Amino acid sequence: MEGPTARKLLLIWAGIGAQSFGGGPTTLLFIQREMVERRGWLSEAEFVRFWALCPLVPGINLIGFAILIGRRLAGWRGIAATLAGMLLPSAIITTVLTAGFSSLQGWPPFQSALRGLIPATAGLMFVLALQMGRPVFKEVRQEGWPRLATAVGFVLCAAVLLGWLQLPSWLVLLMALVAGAFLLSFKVISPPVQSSIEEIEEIEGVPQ
Amino acid sequence: MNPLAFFAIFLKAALFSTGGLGTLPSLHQDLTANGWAQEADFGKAIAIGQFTPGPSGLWVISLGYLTYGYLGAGLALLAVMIPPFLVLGLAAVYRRIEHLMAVRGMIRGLSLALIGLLVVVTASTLAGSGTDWRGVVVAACAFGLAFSQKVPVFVILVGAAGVGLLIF
Repeated sequence: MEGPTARKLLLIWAGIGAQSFGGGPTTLLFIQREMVERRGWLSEAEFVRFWALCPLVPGINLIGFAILIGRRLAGWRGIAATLAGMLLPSAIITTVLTAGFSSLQGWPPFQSALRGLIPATAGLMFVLALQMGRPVFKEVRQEGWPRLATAVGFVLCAAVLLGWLQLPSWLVLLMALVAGAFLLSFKVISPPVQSSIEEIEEIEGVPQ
Repeated sequence: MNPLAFFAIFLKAALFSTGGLGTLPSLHQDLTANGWAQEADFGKAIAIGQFTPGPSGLWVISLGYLTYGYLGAGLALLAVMIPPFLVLGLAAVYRRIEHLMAVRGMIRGLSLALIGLLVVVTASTLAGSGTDWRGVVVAACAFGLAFSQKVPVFVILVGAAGVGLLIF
């Protein structure tokens, strides 16, 4: 397999970064097409294994994914080229758009539009919060109702600790991390998880 | 405003986050406590983030700009780039499955707690930006449309802005 140069990576990722409207799923699709199907730089198995690791670390999953792919293709230079390519176009577009948005601030019709826009964003945020919980709830449901109750407890406790007791949110999240390690790790391994772990081991066992 | 303190707030938020909006509760708490951000800044930044390409978590760049100009945007980008590097460490040790299981539990705990925090923050954003009953109706409609997943997010937001023009 021919290794790409950092320059080429930068250009390809800039294309992915600038085109991927609609957040995560679209970006993932572009990466899969470009890296696996079109250029064959990454096997389908590597793609799946890399993506499986990303939700296990904090922060934006796609950035972790880009880091793994960049290193696999061209080491540290690959990481730098990949991140610059994926993030800079998005960052520049976001900043320019925000600057344009801010310059309209004093214009009365804009203020009216904003009074519709901001509550709508709040509505979307509720949906995003629910979507964020969906994969976890799907898993814990298979692990039995005590697990499910524990998961619901996590959501409620966090809301009470922040909203009522006004604890700092990093403290609430740190408590959730520690409690999660004890209460939510896989004691009872559900079938899909088992198979995905085996899959990962299998892939790892194959010499590359 | 001290650039280092500003950066630390964003980095801390990114370290304790998963997904696109995971940084919000921590940023909301720290930036409003200092008076560095208004309630409305969060709604604006998240709305702008829905219109821009790339990972949805990049809305923090918009928040960085709204609160601290171009320097803020750059610092916010830098802050969200750092925590995902932990994946390199994980890739090196992930064959130890026991370890992975505890890590998975930690991330599960984090995601669940974030849901609780997000609901509280969203409610406070809604209450703090002078929203009356018309705003609540707009929020409820946006929620319903987004939940049904039949209408693209940017259409909902453009529609809401249009409705805002008409009724306010």
